[in-house]
Amino acid sequence: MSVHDDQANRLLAETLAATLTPIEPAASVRAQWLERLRGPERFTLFGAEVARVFGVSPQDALAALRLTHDSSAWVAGQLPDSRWLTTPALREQNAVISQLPAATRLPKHRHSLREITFVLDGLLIENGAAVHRAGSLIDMPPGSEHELQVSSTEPCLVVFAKR
Amino acid sequence: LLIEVPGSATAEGTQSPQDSDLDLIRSAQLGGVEAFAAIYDRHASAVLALGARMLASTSDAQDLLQDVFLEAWQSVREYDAARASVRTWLLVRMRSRALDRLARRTRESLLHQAAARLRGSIELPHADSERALVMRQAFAHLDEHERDVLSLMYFWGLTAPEISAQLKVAEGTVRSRIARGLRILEGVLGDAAEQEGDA
Repeated sequence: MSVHDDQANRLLAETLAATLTPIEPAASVRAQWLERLRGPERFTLFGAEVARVFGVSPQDALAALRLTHDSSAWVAGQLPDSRWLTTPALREQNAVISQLPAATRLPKHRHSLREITFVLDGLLIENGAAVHRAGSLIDMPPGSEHELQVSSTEPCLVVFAKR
Repeated sequence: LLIEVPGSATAEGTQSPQDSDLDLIRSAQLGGVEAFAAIYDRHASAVLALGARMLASTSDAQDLLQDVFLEAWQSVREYDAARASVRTWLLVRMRSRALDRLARRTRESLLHQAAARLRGSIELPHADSERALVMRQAFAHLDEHERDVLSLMYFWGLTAPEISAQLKVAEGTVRSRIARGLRILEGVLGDAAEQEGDA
């Protein structure tokens, strides 16, 4: 085993690193970290999946997800109280990030193109039964149909693309 | 129209001290920031201790801590409990970042610091839990030479030839000390896991 060996690294983390006396970090470090997590980094945990699903680079996916925290980036949507934003990288992939208010209902509709929806926050209920939470992907092929409803208690944030 | 939502997994449930790391990670994987903050509260002090030991500076390690936990958040969906405990997963990240930071220092100065800090600096393990106590006993099973080579390898990221030069012993001896030390620790960890399984 060598120091670059994953197994050795984990073994030594569980043994050698356990020999150290813990050091309490400064409260300010936690506060700053948490402020970023509640703010621009809120949805960056989905960066790798958004990059993969929508065909953008990981950096572009992270930049787009961070933009959700910037109120000036949003544009009013067609549905009441909805809004959307995009970035050059997402636009190139015909994708936007969209926020739908609580209880929004999209009656049964047919897709002429493939539609991909990745849930970032909130809940989407499909055909009154299937529940799609944060981290879920709804991939609808051309010609398919469904109805969608946003949870009655909170808005839903999605990345959405038509292909 | 109210829709009843089945299932109990939510991103932002109320965290309790009884929640396992895995419960917290599962909430975090659905976007639960507060669950991830609870993970931070449990493990940041151990992660910081590793960074501080490697960089010989608590202040430098605190700079890295925020990045380590941000990167962990960005990778939380890929966390695999079968590969490592949450603490180990975080420690591996801190070690990697600290090694990057160390790599920016000149190799010569690093080797000099490593040798200087090694002399008389091997600590007996801190024990704040039953498991840590087992580790403390395990570490005591290693002889001084094995502790030296493992410490230089893990905390300083030195290679076997570099350790050989620092300790003025043959490279083959260094390699066999590393292998023997790892075998002992592996055996003790295995025994501890079996005992936990029996309990």
